[in-house]
Amino acid sequence: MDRSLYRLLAWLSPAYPIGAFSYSHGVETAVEEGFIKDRVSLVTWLETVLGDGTGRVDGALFATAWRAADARDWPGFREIAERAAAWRGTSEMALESRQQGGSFLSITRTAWPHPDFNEVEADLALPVAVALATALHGIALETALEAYLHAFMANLISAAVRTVPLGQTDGQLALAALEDAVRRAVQAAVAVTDLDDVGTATPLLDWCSLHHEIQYTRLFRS
Amino acid sequence: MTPRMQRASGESRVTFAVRDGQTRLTDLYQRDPCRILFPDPEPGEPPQAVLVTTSGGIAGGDTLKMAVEIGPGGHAVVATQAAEKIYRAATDSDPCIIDIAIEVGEGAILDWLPQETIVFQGSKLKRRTVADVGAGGSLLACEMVVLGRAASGERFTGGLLLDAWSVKRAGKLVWTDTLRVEGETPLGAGFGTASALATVIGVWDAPQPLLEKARGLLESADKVRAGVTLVNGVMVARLLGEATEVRGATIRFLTDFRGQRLPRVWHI
Repeated sequence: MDRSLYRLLAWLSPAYPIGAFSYSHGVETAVEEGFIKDRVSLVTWLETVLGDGTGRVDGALFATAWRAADARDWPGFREIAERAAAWRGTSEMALESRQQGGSFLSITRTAWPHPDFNEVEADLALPVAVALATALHGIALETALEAYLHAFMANLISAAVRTVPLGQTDGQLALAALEDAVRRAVQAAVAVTDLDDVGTATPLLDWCSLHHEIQYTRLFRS
Repeated sequence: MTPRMQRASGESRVTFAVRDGQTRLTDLYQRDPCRILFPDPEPGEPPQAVLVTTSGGIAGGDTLKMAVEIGPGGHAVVATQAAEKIYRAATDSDPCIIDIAIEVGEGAILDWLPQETIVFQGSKLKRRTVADVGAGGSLLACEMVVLGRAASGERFTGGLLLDAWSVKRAGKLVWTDTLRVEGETPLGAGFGTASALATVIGVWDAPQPLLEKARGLLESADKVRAGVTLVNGVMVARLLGEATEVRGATIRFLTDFRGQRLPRVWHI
């Protein structure tokens, strides 16, 4: 019996208790600064976060970590994990990834145990933690990564709906508009053969995150 | 068959170490087009090395390797003589490759202050900088990239800029980041109207007071978007904006942050 869909739905649902709702990944500042002011500008912003920013790096880290875990290449996996932990632009984006990755791993290994969870340290960036769990439980890379990037986008849309504010329907229109972009990000990530060739072109995202650290009133932790 | 242009393959290596209680040059190697000059430092200031690319600019297929090492307890400042210019590359040419290795020994201090790198429209650059800072060591590093010859209104809409930075502490990777601009910069969270980005990286054992100092200085920066953070113990500051403004704001920030003027080459 194939349990992949059930598990993916559970692990990447906003109800999975890793605290995703408390992070906006710079969206709160992007709204405050006027980069995001309506549905159209939200979609443009998220397309670049996905295709030229964090989605590009985390997608590539996810794909390479998934393959290493699938092959039970633990030295290779640990090297990717170390790189993923270091590859964070700002303090808050590092917290966002490390805290959620740690929570994800701790909950998942309890509720869906697998002996090979013991091969790695408890401290993993979120994309690497999800890559590990999906690889160990035999969930296909592209399916897992599409679900991961969808969850990333859905979470930021939810943050935008609360801060812009946008209507709930606008939020879902944005999510629908990002369908192809998520697909392209998956394809770009699985095509990566060398992490040395991967990078971001989103300094405004980094700036928003830097600025969020000193923003006067904050709803979100990033 | 089209004749291949002869490409440059330069290398430089400079090592400072403490001898008789003073930081001194202990090893030097240079191969064209890489040269190193040693201007007399101001009285009371640490020794300076100035890296020069004698070809005036770098084109597709060129490879440059540079290494800077400061032995335990040493203190030195390294800069570049001028802005590094990356020329337009032929469509089928390989990118130019620059590899930079920085080693800061235990308790040593290095200020790595190269001037900006200007990537011309259509140029291709892959640059990788790896800095390893030993226990108790300090590193202040600045890196500024300009997309296109902004002064003449050129925009960078084709080509490749891949600029990777890794910081290790006693051999362990603590921070890494790669800027990758291929062709047109993206809308949304991309560069906005900015044509330049400066990054200032700081590594110290007790970074918190220095982070606060940097934050205070950057809050007053105008005409650029500036900010600073501390990731895994590494201070990372960014200044984003129009090239002349970013250069000016970066000079002001570094001067005030270090409490002394930048090496003279910055002011010529």
